[in-house]
Amino acid sequence: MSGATAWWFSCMVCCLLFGSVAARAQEVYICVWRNPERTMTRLFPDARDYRTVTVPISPEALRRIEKRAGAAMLPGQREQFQYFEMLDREGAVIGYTHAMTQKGAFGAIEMVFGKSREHRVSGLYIQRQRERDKRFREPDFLARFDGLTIGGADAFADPLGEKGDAGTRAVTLGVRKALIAFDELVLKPVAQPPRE
Amino acid sequence: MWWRSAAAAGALAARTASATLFLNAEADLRAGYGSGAGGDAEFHALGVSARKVFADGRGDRLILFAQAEAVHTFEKILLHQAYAEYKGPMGRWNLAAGRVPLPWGLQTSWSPDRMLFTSPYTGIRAPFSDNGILWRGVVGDWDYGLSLTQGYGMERIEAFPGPGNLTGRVGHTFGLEGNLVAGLSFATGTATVGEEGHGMGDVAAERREAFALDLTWYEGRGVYRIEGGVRQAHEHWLATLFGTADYALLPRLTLQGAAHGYESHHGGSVLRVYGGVAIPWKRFTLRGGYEYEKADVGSHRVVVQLHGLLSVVR
Repeated sequence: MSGATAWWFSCMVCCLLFGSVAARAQEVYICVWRNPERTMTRLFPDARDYRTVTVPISPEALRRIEKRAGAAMLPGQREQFQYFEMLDREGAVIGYTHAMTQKGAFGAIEMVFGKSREHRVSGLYIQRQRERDKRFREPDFLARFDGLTIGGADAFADPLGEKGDAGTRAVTLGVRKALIAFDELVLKPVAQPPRE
Repeated sequence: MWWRSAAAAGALAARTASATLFLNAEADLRAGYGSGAGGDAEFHALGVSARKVFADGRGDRLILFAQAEAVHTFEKILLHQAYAEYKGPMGRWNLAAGRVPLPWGLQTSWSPDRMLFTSPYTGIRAPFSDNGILWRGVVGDWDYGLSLTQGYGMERIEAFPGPGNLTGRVGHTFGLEGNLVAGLSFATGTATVGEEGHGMGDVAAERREAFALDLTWYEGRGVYRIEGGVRQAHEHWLATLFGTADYALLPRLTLQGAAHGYESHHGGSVLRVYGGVAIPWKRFTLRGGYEYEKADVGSHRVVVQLHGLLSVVR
């Protein structure tokens, strides 16, 4: 391609990099999920397929989510909320998969969890982490999230309490944020459709 | 041929129910000094990729993907990938057509393009992508890929269908968190690659058979990658062995090392070793490092990089 075309292409990329709202973030916490189907199959062995759902987050919804979660959403998570609907052979939803990233002591902790049709947590896996303390990876800690409902998310605290550390608190906060965001962005708009 | 595939994919996309767009843009600025080459500074690359996922009533179904970059201070634009992919249930099988990534070694899930060490695929003429079809999928802890392509890699298409290239890889992921991944790759046919990589330097077509074993190990604060293999080209079997390590010494300081040794088809062998650091800074990453290369004569290179990456989802 010609040099002029290369210049225009480069200008477009620069505009994307330096002109976007998202580009003003300090660090971007987007979960780069390696081998997603492998984890989805573990969470939902009966699933036939899955569908990616992306929901925009309005400023008002963002404020409600952060107030309920008791913490700010991280850069890269403030504009869009993404989850996966797990489907059976007829295309009916049998559950949901969430991939979240939360800041630990040594960088990002990436986690994946399943949620039943009744919106109860059913399985939690750690995807990627670099923490020194490994307690948040232990099966008995992760199992404490099973059965957690959206209704109980607001008050859900680190299962290890004062004995917890940055890793356990990060996983707790990541799951809590995902549940609250799903409630605010998916369930509430369905329960209260806008007036026409 | 792959333009027709893209048009057909576009028509199919109009019938689907919902869609998600993933957009990435990155900038790679570098300055360096090398023995013999002197000092230089450039926009090493400005790249963009776009991935559009269309879903029907039974799940994600059609994926359109394209990746391109302008290199060496806008000297030229390189098209790395451009394909349409039909996704099977739970990703157990997927069929892509266009300029597809080849299922080979570590580059199936990792790219050395933004690293400061010389890519291990440059000297051994292993192409990253090629024009044709790709069948790949994930079944439990196993993943596979098989591609049938023209053999022109990312270079100019000379004729149709082309000399032909068959590439395949089977991989296995171990452990609940998937911390160890191993893969076995093979390739037979023609690979057309520039000596300096995609579209740069002396471009030559090479008829060869190749095999490789790759390992990726995520352990604590480190990520370790190894790829070793052989290829038969010009009536000789040539070996290659590459390894790289990333270790987070501090929350904001990662040590990086790499080493690559391979037998050159020119005769003799080449050895490269690299050591450097990576530091996150706002939405950028600062990297700096030193590489030593021993071929006929030894050469040294010091390079610093400012790398920015933006990802958005719509």
